[in-house]
Amino acid sequence: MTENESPRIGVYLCRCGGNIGDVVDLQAVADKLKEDKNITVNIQDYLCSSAGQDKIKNDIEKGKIDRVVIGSCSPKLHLETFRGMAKTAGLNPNLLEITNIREQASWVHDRDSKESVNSKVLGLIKGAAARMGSIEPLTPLTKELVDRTLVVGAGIAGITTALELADSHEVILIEKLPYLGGHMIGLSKTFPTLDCSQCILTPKMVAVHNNPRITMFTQTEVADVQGSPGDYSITLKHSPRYVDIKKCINCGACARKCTAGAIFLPFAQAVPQAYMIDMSKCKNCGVCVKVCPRDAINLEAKEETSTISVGAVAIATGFEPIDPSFIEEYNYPSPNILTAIDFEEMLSAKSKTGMRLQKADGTFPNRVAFVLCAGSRDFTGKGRKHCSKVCCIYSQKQAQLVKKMKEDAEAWIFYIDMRSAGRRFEEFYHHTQEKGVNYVRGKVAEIIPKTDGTLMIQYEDTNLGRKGREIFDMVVLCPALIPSKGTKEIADKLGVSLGDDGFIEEKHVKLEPVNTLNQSVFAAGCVLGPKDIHDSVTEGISAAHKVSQFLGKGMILIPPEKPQIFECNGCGECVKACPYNALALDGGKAVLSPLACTGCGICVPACPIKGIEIRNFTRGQLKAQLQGILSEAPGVLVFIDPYAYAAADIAGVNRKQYSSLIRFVSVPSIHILDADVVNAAFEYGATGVMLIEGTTDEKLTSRSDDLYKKLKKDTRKHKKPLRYSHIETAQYEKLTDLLNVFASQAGAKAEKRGRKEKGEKPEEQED
Amino acid sequence: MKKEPILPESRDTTFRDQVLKTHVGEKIPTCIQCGICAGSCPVSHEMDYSPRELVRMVQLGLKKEVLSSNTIWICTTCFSCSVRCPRGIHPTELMETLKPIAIAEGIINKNAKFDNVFSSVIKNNGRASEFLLISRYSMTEPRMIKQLPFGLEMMAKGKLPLSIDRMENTRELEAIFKLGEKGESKIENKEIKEKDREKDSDKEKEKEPQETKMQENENEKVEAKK
Amino acid sequence: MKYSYYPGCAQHGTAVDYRISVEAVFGRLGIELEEVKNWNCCGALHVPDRTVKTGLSARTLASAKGLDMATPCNLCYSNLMRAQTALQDSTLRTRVNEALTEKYDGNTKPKHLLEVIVKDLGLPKLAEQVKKPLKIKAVPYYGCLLTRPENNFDSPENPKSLDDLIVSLGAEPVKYYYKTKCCGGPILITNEDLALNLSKELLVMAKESGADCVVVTCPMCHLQLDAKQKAVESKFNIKIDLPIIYFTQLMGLAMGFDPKELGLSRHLVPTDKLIAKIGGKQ
Repeated sequence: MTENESPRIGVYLCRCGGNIGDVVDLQAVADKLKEDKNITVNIQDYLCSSAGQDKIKNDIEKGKIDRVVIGSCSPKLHLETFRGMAKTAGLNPNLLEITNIREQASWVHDRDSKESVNSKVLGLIKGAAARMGSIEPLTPLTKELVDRTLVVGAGIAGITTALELADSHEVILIEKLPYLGGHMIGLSKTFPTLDCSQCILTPKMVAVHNNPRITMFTQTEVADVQGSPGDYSITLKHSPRYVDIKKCINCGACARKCTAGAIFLPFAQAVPQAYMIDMSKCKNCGVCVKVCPRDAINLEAKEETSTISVGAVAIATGFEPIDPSFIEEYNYPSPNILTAIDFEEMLSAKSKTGMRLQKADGTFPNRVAFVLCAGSRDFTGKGRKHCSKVCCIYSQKQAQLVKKMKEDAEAWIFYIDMRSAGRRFEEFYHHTQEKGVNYVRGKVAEIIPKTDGTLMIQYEDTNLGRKGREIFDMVVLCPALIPSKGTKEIADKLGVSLGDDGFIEEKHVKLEPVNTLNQSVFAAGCVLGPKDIHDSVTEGISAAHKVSQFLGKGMILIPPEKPQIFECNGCGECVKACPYNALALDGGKAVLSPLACTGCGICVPACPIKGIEIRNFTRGQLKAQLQGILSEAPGVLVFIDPYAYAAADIAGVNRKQYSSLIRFVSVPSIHILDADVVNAAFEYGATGVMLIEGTTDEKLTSRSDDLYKKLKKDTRKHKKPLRYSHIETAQYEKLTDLLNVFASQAGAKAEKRGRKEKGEKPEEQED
Repeated sequence: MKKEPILPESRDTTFRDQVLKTHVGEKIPTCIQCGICAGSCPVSHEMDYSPRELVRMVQLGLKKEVLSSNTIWICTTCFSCSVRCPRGIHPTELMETLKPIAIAEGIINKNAKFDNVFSSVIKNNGRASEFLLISRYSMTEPRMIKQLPFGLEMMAKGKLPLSIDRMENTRELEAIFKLGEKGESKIENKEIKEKDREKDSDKEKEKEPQETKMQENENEKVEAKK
Repeated sequence: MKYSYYPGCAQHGTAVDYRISVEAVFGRLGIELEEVKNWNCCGALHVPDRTVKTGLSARTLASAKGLDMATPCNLCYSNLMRAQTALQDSTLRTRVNEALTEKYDGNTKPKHLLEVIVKDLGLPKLAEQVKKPLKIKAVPYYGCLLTRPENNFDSPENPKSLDDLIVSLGAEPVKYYYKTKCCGGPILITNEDLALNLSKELLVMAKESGADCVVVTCPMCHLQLDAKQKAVESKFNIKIDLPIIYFTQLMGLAMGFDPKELGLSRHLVPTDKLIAKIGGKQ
């Protein structure tokens, strides 16, 4: 492209089968767009297909176009695909943008007229093309990656990730508990093969312990995260064990002398093989210190912190069972009512009963009931909505174990739907039936403890439509499996979002299942939702591969949309405003360190002389975009940051309907905005403006209130509604509710104003 | 018990929509038939259909069976099912909602009679005097005479006063009872019927050309035969 | 402490003993219960139309004069609570208000007398008034409608407030898994046979628990478990002989009232053994 030549913008619209084409009249949109002589338009059935991509590529290569605007699905899905294509065609990737007309248009405006959706789509594309006209071709910055990974959580998923990665990368593996193995070390036999959990896990734990590339810390949690993707400085918090695991030789001399039973080995196969002290029992007599031949015990040990430098993080913090005591009709806790986790533990390496199944009085339970969906599939807000996935199969395994231990013992499984979708699972179901386990289709209504220690279960056999009562010696509740404590904390620290079920949100639910929205953070295992060992291992291997792929590049590309300082009077306001210390005064002028900069744009409104702009998000470019968007019809402009944008996409995937007056404008953060831009929006015809922020970065959110107040004040003259909201990625329902309420408020206000103006100068309204 | 097959003609979608539009209707389609309602119910074993089955039948629109079942009248209104349902369906409230619909459909039984007596006693006196209730109800249900000794025992303890407790003025209550003439079930019923009429007329419009075509075909056939 | 007071119909009939004890005990505690003028029945469980039923309670709630609305009866309480929730919907409120002389603004808080004692007065305050700690075992029986479908002070399945009240009177609440199960009261008149089956289970379990009495909070539960106890005994050919006591009567006994001042002589199941055990006389 030579300078001074007007840009030749190729607009490509995707029908996405009928996903877009059935709702939006793309031909009409195209016809309108073609009125601009700088624009050429092409419509394809599937733009992401090779045919679709080749069309764009050809047009670029032949010099027909030098800028590309695509109207299709969310850029979260295919922006990288298309930009990769542009690059091979010789076009700077920045000169290609996607306008989301599927998740944020065709899927969410069922209630509106076709005309209204059409005019929205036309406006959005016009806006994108207007901004594209002045987009600069930029080259991403690069930063060296730290080739070291932190794996958080040493259950089977974390262990697998660590071991797989350690083939070629350095790994730090941390675990909250004093030993490795997570929930799996507390399992008995594993379905559907009934092999012993400990037997298949122990070699892996030992391998972790012995691997020179893995540094392992137990009783350790993440305290703080600094830095940026690819180059994190993470502070770890180590709780005291009071026994040095490197010195301890597991001789047991200490435990033999301890009168309080405070020093012990967690269990025989525990890794690391070292004793630990329960300070709530310790009398601080010091005998253990004296008898230890290795001088490994320090009763004065305190919590410690250390700082590590890593390029990537894999979260494998797993699940925990919900506490079923909230289901009051089940009367948990009561003697002989236990959770399935307790049941497993009793028969596992961690057993405290010598691996014997026993009631509170030490005898074997002759009649055992398994109660499925204790807290799962519950839409009342008391339990969890999701199916916990593994309970149907493990309860059958547990029932088999009961029958195996005593042939004439009875095992009953109370279920709602027997879900055995998984390889070899239906066969396992069939096998359990053959063993004589009793199945009842019906959710248990109540469990009433009797004075003799037995338990009465009342239920309806829904297959027969008859109410029933049975007496059991033991009742095993299969609790909902929920994200382990601290999941939200670590997700927030790493800028990763959670779903409304509390599990980590995948970058793409199907196609990028172990990536998160943070390119250097990955996840594996039950922190992504309940699953069995097989799937946790699969994800561990996948996550290791993805981390390895990420680290293998050696460099991280940093988006080039950074502040550009045109003019500076050395006042230092931007330096004060920057929360990441990316700006400094040097020789009386502000200077940017681009690697520290996150591109949030908070410096833009901070500069009193308007000397700073974010490249490719300049005021001029944004205003051109707003004007284009509103050129067809008035609407509500919603400035939205990438995290909240993801919520809007989820709303689209879930077909949550909202008004087609809503038009999103994607910004790196809402803090880039000042009254200049918002006033322009109102002048171009916006009936209302919303700022929607999704980031959980407190450095930004702590300033949002001030931003809102200032904007409110500086745009007051328009007398149009302005609103700020914080919407995390998971809160897509809240988002659509909010959009609807605001759109109708803004609409009502505009109508009122319209009537008033009409009364005064009716003719002008006609125009 | 004889069980009729479920056929398109036994499913009344107008009835189904009428119930789904009431304040308890929204969650009814989300029932997973887990049976916790029936398992929790103290009297489900006495019901023609358990609360779980009733919900299913409402989903299908089995109007006749639903409204003529003893289920809605046997319910003791203890709300055990309602607080336990994992989908937030409120079967107790569903029973309450179905009662006026059943009455409007002409269902009469001892429970409906008692409700009727109760309502008229309150409407006229403002308060539910036990003596008045029992004596009125006994007139429609002669078997109540067996309760006479019990009544006398209660009287002896001063627990069944013959003097009737009543409000000073019940004009306001008449207005409240009038609200029932356009009560929830009735209003929505009307709305739905109107909507259906619209739908039906739409359908008719669609059907018209088809039918004419068919007729034409038949005419042709007839002519061909000739 | 002052409340607007909605006694409900039973206080003037079958629950006259309840009324006597409420007046005695609340008087002593200095809790003022100002009876709503010209109040109407809440409709109990026998007014099928939802709008009418809501209207009946709306009239009561509208007369609260800015006070909380206290009531002694589980049925009345549940109807007031349900109406209160339903009337948060402004469309329904507008419709119902059409029929009311005094319009309802939606802001009255219904409270059961048990809630008034346990939450508002507080059990430590009650304990100060205890003159004669009751060395007995009592079944805390809440019934269904005190806590379901909704209430503002306790759990719907496993409430504790009555247990706590019993403790503060010096008595011991027995473990009773049937504390919120249905007594059968609502279907007594139309289906006595079934109603008695339900009562039987409650009474047998209460008897098995070794308690000296069952404590209730509702006139209908009392009618069913006390007045109909003999019918249960004869239907199933069993002996129960278990006094059924209103919680206000239990409070009164601990506060040193004479049993006669609490209406205990009006029960159908004799209470003399219980009174003797407490060390009072009748």
